[in-house]
Amino acid sequence: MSSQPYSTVDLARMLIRDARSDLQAGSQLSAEVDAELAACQRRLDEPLRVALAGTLKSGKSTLLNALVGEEIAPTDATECTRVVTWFCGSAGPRIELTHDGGRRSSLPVLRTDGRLHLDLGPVTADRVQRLEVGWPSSLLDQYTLVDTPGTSSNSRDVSARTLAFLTPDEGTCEADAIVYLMRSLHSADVALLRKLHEHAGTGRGPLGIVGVLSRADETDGGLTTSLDAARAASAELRTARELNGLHRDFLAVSGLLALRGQTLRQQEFSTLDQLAALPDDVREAILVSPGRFVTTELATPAAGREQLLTAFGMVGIRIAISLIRGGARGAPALAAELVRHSGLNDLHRTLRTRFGSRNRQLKAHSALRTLRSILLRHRSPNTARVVSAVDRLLADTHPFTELRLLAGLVALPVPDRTRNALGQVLGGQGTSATTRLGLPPDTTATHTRAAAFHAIRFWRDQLSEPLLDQPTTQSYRAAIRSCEAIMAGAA
Amino acid sequence: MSVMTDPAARNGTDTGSTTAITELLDRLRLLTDAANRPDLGTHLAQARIRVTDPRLRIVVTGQAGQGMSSLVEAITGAPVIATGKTAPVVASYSDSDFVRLVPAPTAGAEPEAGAGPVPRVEVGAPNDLLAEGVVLIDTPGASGLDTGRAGAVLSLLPAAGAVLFVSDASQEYTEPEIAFLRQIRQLCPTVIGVITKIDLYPRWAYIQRANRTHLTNAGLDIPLLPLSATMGEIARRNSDAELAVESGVPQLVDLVRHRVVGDADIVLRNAVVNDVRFVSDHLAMALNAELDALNDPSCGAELVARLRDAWEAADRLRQRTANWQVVLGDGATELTVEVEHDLRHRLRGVVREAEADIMTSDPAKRWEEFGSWLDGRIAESVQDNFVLAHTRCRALAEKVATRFVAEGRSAVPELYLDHTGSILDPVQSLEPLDSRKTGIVQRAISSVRGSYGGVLMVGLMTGLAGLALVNPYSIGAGVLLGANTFWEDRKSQTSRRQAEAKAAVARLMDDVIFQVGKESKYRLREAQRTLRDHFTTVATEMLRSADDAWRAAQEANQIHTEHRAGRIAEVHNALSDLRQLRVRAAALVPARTMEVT
Repeated sequence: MSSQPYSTVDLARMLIRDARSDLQAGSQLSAEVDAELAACQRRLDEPLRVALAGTLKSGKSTLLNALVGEEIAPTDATECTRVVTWFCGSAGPRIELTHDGGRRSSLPVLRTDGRLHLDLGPVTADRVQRLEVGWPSSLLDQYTLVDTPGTSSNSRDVSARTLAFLTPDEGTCEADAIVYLMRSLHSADVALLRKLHEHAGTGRGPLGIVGVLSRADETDGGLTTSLDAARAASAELRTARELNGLHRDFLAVSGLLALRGQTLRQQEFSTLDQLAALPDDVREAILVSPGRFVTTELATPAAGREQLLTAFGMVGIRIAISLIRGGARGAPALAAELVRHSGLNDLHRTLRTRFGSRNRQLKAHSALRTLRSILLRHRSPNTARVVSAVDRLLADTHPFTELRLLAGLVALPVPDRTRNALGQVLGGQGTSATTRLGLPPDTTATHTRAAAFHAIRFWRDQLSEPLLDQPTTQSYRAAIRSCEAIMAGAA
Repeated sequence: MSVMTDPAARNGTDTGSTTAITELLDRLRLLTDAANRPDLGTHLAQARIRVTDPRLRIVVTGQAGQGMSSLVEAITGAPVIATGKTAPVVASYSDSDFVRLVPAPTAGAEPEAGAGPVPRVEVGAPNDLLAEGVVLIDTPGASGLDTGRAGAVLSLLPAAGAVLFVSDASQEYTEPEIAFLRQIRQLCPTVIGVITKIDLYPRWAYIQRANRTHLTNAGLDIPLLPLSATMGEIARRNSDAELAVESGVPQLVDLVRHRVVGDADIVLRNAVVNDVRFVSDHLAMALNAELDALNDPSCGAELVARLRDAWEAADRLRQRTANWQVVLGDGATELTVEVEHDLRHRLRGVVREAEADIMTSDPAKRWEEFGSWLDGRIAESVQDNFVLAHTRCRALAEKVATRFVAEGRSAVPELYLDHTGSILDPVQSLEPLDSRKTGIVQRAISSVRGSYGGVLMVGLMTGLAGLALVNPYSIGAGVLLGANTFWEDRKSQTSRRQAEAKAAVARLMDDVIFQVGKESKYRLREAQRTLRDHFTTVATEMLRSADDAWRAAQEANQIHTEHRAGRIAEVHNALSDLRQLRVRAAALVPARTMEVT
């Protein structure tokens, strides 16, 4: 492999420039196309766009709040998110609404109890073109999060809006990566995942998908062991027949617990602490039903309990109490335990390794496929050269191959040790040379090269196995190529 | 019969109990035996079985993981192990708790209606509701993933008395759930929506309201009951009456008891009343004829002639050329054609969709996904076709019954006016009852159902899945070949594979139409035979009665004058016995509900 003199992002930028001049030469560069190309270029410099997708009530907004650590996406017991909402980093809070063919207006930023109100006012959901919330948050500086309404909704138009965003019939998906949430595997999920997969396969959708088994606290009837049950369920999904050829790696995460951990108030903690200190039988008796929890006569004020119930839900309260009894003394300790228990850290880590370190490549991929769709719409002999260059870059860029293979890794028929090594070398844990080879970060270049050389021989050896199936062969080849890149010092 | 009925428990309407009914039937049986009418005796024996085994199937269904098994546990108190993931759980009454796994019936044995070719778990518990004859069937979660599973659930429904549709309070009804509810409603009129896990979700009332809105928008009128199995369980353990009410379990049990069991009970009583009327009318016919002849020997010849006409009319009813036979024959032919046409029509739609899909891109790349998508669409079509066959089959049975009654009435008006209604009864009143009971429609339908169930559960995809299309070029090869030639070549490759894929789909559809068509034709013919046999039996009974009456009148004419008074008294007694029985039978049903028949 030749070491690349330019990064993929640079190449993408150059291709966009070429496309512009080629279109200009053929006098096809209308103001509209020019704007599209400019947006395409700008996308390379903006934060990565991560869309949260899933069926109705799968907990997308709650997870978004948990990731940001603030309640900026409205949530409710019944279907709540009705329009695709963009959450971007910004110096100060702002809400901007584009509707009715490009009319823009700012909405007032109103919060009650820390929850942000998104009131569209007189504008009905079907007239909204874009709803954008700007919020000061370190996570939003890194990623732009897109909250989508649930699919399989009983209001057809709501589902249709999400599908138009995720898998548009024309053009390409605006997101660079997708976090897919589901509560349990259902045919509607399989259908949507398949659609996303097809779009990625035909170069119209994002490559990066992270799966989340959401509302993990509620699995197994809301017992305090429900997170473990959710993790077991996520392990089961890896061998689910229905997901053949689709994304199979799902992280069990409870958005609610994570959010509560991050927004825990002293008053909430003291109420929980008092409840945890009750005798076992009294506590069990009030935890029987939401009605009893609020109405039973206790020293703890009923108002506090009611507030706790709205915020935590019965399951959340049970888990929080068991954490306190398990040794979480004090609000900060409980907050940390809740977050740890929720699985949010795993999600953060996965986002970092999957999206964070490949940020530029994912964006380049998005920019390239957008560019391709622009060029295909304005086909001319002038642009043929750029189109084939874009195609070549999309097909031949090793990091894209790595991403594709990482998504299918859990389904490979190889021993776990091989799988883990493969994931590591393909950059599943991080893309630095040392992480890929499993070496300490301060390893000298000579050592790294030697280890890479060993790794190449190892994977070549694996490749000589006569009965390998095609995906495994591809993965081994890709592993060799990744190691070669390390040897060449390009990674 | 493993299910023993507690007589007191059925005493819902205070108009009589099971023992009273059986006693009534037994007395009538004695009279039929005395009149030497074993055919009517069989009729009564069947009625007796129906009374002593008032089993009522209630199917519990919903999407996986919504707490169906816990619901069954809460209602019955039976220890339902969560094996319900793959095998249906059947809970019925027994004196002591038991759980056993019943293996799938072997190919030779006649599978019990509704059991299907899968193993099932049988659970018994000494529970009040179960003692009333309720049998709860907890189906494996119809997650919609396994389309065969949803089909298996649907195939249970025509024989079910009611359906409990379970969805938990974590979210409102989704689009697939509403679609499933629509299908359920078509097959079983009594559907109760249960919202479970209200102990976990404080805002369940909002969910209930949202669900109500969705149901109203979908035009479905279904009662919604919030419920918590966990709270119910705790309430039972601690004997906490207040918590029990809060849990919603007693409300559901009450609803099932009044709405489902109560209705079934009234239907059952009406059926008994009609059976009694039917049998006593037949018995009375001979007696009345004899009495007429005895009282007025002068018009004896005229009476004999009239009865002969009646006999001939009844005989005509039994013939192959009878009008109802024609209606049945024509109807069955039309039905077969219509069902097959419907299947073809639906599948043609699927083929069109599939072809359009194939043309969008290279089919080889996503052959497997395409296969399972097609599988789902086919299963859906076959299911809809099943619903259609079911409703049409029922309509045919009713049509034939109407024709039969009309014909019987015109043939022998004065003798048969009284019980024309009762001929229809097996059609109307037994419909919601167990399929193994004598209801003609039920029998017809259960035979259809068996086959469709089978088709629905067996995967049809073998044809398509086995066919491997040539693998597409790897993307890497494209670069080696040079982009242009690659695209060119790929284009022709793609169109070739698209043609292959279309041919494969067409072949598969032929297979499906052949398989399903063969099964459904066979079963519809079975249904036709069942209907024909049933009505022929009824006609034979009528003929027999007419025959008896005719002979009795003839004999009465020849009886000696001095024996005449004694015989008149005897006949009077027998008639008054019959009348008494009928009055007692009528008292079984409250006057209001009599109108139903």
